[in-house]
Amino acid sequence: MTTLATPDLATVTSGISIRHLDKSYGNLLVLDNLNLDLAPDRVYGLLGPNGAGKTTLMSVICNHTFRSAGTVLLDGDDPAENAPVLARTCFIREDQAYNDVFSVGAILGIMPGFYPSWDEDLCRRLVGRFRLPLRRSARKLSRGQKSALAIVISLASRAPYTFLDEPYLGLDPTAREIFYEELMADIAEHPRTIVMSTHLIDEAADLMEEVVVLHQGTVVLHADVDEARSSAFVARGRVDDVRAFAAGREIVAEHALGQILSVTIRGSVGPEEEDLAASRHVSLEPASLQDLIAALGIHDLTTALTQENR
Amino acid sequence: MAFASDRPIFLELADAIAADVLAGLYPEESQVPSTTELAVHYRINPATAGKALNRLVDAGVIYKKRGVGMFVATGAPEAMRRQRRAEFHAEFVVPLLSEAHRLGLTTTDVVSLITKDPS
Amino acid sequence: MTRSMRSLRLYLANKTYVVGVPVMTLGLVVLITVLIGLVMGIAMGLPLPPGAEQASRTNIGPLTALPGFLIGVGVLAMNRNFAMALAFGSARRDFWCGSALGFTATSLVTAVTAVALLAVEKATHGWFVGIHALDLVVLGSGDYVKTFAMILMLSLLSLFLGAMFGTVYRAFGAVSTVVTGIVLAVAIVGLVAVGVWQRAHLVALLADWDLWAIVAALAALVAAAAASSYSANRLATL
Repeated sequence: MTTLATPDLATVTSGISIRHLDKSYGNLLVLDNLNLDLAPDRVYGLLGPNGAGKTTLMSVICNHTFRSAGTVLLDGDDPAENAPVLARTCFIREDQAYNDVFSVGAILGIMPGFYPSWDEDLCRRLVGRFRLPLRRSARKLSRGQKSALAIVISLASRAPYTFLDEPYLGLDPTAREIFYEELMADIAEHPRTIVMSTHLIDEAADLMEEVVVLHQGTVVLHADVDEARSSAFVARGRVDDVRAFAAGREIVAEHALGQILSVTIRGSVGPEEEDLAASRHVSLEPASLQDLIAALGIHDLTTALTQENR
Repeated sequence: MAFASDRPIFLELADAIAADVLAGLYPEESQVPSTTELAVHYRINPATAGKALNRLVDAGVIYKKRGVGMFVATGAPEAMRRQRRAEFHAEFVVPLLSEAHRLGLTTTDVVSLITKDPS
Repeated sequence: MTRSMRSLRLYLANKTYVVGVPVMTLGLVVLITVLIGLVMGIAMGLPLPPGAEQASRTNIGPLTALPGFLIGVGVLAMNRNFAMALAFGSARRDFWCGSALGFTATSLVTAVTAVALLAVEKATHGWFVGIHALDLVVLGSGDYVKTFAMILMLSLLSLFLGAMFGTVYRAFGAVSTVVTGIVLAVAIVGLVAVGVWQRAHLVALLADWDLWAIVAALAALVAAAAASSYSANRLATL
């Protein structure tokens, strides 16, 4: 369900446009004929099971790794070894390597050189809120502190294209709230493109404008977050009633508990569905985005896990 | 985020602000929170907050002062009250009676229940 | 150029490491040499007799002390700094150029330090004990220009050699890095063998060109290591 328009590449001068993108590592095809258009200055949630190709996609866009085939355009230009285009990106990987002999303070100290838009005040405030130890070596940071450092750099850089790779790892709920709050505050004042891969879908859904769901290296859903939310619902009731209700509809997941069956159905709830459900004593509930994503990925979860452990 | 329904967040947020206007939390001609303030407070995308405010502008509840912000329109609470009164029958009475009848209560039973209530 | 400066600043983020340690290493070489001189002095009396003083000129202390650390600096730069520079939106070419400038800076500081220490050594007649740490045959027997050139080339070679291994690892993986190491070791053994076999020519070359023959050979190796690390860096990925 790619619900958004596909513009002609020749006319695209802003945002990210990807056509027929392949990326393979040896025999393993990680990105498979992927097409995607991201308009600038929006927040995108990059979702999908582990091994779906989320990190690889961001790596290819930022030219951290090389694509095998296809086209990638960032503001109308190919980012491959294109210094002015790459300078607009910031992509700190989930497993980002830092030079062992650099302290947190030393790393933050050189950042204004990389980003003319660097906001030192924001950097200081974030360092304070996350209680980052400036004198500690980047190597000796805990998982949560590493995530906090990545968040500080990503936000204070004000890079027009900022990629966040599971930015919450190791952060406690309070620190995650700080992150969400600061992210929203900063993009409200300084709009820019944020692509954030996350597994905490329901927690982060309200931050996003659009969701892009990857599965087996291709985009299976790209929609406005509200549209994605209303693209599935859960019908729950006695097995026979639910079966009758669901007949002829696209079921993406189902769970049974004794005589109770609950199925996740693709589509939206209209008056027709409500009447039918009422007559069958079937209750209709919204599917959470998390449910929908899990449902989309569940068919091949075993494959995904195998890829993850390659 | 405090909203937990299947309705789009911008609708929920617009309704929440409208309810606050109706309750007098934002008096006429007072300023309502900005897109940024709403985005930070509820940790929602600023575009979503903007959509909620625009919906209220379209409904005539608030209006935009260029370069200053959004303000509650004069007469907006009264207009909303009037509209909600008009919708009261369909929104509250019909579902109440339908549930009552399902439980075997007659309309008279419901009326007596209501009049019995001291408030 | 400005974009390369970002990566130069990244390289210099910990100045103690890329500037301080090489300087301190040379200082340590001097200190240890002086201590050895003092110990010898217990038996021979101070200052050391001319025979012992001349013998200390054949010492090769600085040549063995510097490369290990500098190779490590080169490896780390092309590995960790590379990962950082790319994360912060740099192109590979700019990163490599900035790092190469950094290697040059480290080497210049190290060479200048060596020359300064040599001046002190000469002024104090061998650190007051008659022993030599930098006025050495291998560095040009007290010639400032030769000492500067030798330390500069030695330092550059160590850094770029490390850079070559670091980039080959990023571009082609661990196995290729080991293979590169083996090929390099075989090449060195081969060169030494040729040198021993043709030692008559070598002696003649040294007689004609003096230490400059070695400086030129080191410079050629630096160029080769730099070229291979540049080429490999274009293919390096995260």
